[in-house]
Amino acid sequence: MVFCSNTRSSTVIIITSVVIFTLFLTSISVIAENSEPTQTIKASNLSGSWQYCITIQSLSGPSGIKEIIPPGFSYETSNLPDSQVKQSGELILLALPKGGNLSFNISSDQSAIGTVSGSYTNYLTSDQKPLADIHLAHGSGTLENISRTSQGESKYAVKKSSGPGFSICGAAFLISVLLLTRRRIQ
Amino acid sequence: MNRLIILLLAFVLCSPVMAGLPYDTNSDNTISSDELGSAILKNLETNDPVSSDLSDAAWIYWHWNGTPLTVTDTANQTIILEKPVHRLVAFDGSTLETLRSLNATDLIVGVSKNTHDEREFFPEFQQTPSIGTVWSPDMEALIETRPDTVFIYGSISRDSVQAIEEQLKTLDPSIRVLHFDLFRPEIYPDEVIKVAKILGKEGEAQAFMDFYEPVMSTIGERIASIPLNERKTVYFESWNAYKSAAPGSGYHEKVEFAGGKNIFADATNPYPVVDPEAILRLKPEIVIKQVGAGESNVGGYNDPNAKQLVPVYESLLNRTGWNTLPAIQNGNVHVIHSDILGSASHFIGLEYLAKWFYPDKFSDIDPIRTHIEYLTRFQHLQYDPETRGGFVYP
Repeated sequence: MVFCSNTRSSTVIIITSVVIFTLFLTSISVIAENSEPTQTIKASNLSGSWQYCITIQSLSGPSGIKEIIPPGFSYETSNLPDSQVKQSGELILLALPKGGNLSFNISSDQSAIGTVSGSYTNYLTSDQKPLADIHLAHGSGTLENISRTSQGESKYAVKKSSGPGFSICGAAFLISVLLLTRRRIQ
Repeated sequence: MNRLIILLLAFVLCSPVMAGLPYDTNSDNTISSDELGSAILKNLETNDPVSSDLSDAAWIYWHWNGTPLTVTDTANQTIILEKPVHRLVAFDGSTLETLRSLNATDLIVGVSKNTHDEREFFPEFQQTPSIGTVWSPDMEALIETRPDTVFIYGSISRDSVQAIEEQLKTLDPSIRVLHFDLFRPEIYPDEVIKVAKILGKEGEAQAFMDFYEPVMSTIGERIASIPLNERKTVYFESWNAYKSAAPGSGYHEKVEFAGGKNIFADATNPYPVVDPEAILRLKPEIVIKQVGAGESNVGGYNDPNAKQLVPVYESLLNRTGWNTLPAIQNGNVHVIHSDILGSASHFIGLEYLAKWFYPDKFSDIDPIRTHIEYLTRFQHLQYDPETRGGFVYP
């Protein structure tokens, strides 16, 4: 089973390049304070529905994660055995006896927006901390915004959030691909 | 005594029944990933605070691979631990010092009475309850600290240690007593690793060993290249005049480890009181005088500087007939404090000894740098032994 891998094969090079680069641009790494745990969100548009892979890395020691996903989103799968996951409606419970990294996928249709909120429990220290919220919002076919908001005094507060999917670098990349393709066609 | 009985009853009533490993639902003496995983899911579901049993299960799973830990201590006693250490009493300063190197002092609930005299070296334990000493324990105070584990000497003061153990067994048999000599160079690395495993501090132990072992191996390797018949003869004197050390004592081992040839190596008593005439006859090339207790209770971390050691040094030079000794004639008389020789800091003292015995072989070694680094990195003390305290003279 592969998690967080949503590439789509295509025979047209330009489309593949654009898709890969779009995935790259919409992948946001958020570094938590005190170096643990770090979190990453990857988003991709597949056949009209959006899929998000949320990765929480460097969970030190036996840990538990509780996530609440917004209405319109569905839990798909995770890197944990089924016996370590429990889902009930919008609530997802994930147990990591060995700590380490957690990846789980959620999906939504085109119009869904909302916030994923969660908490992290370290069972070695009995510490429970909120995880930074993940705000998911997109428009018709184009990713508009994936952001994380700070949780105030939380030890795992997010330092930085990212904005829209396309940047100057992205625009430059697309223009150069288009120019190259055009030359070949000519 | 009545108070002790009331305390004992309170313990019996409050002590949880020991029933193997927590969350070992199939009783196979192992907390499996599935067992811990389902306990975690249940806790997340109920939203309850993490229970002590659950955090213990997580701790055992993480640090002891989900199984009880079997330990054979320095008294050759095998103990099976089914719960982590939460409340620890340390009967001696070397244990406390080692626990500090392992970042494990948050577990300490009781310390030796002597720790309260070490206000500069153990500032954070000045308010920690005293449980007396191995030789004069305060059992009532010890029980009041509600320890789950006691660390006590492994090979010295056996009668006193045994008496304490017997009383503890009567008062609260659930208290685990483990024996360690965290001051003996020959077993120190093994003991540190063992204690670290018990306390889940393996990473800290490795970091400390990465510092400690090169110091010791440098001394060992360089001394090994000196033929036995070329080694310097040493008279070691403990705190009291003419009380020396012989095989069976830690000080004899330290003198030999640093490349010295103990002039009283054939004594049968490990701590012989020697005939002053014998010293004159055996003509040691080096004299090492230890201070820090007994008749020479000066120096150490509490003293402002090394000046306190000067009168001790001068009194050695003025002993009757000592002007005939090669050690005196060649300026090879040294005073050293037991804080850096007879404790967990022994590696600092050994560097001094080796350098005094063979200055050419250890010209690149600077014990004061080792001392500073140890205090800063592992003891977390802002204390400069170059300008404060009395550790060596000259």
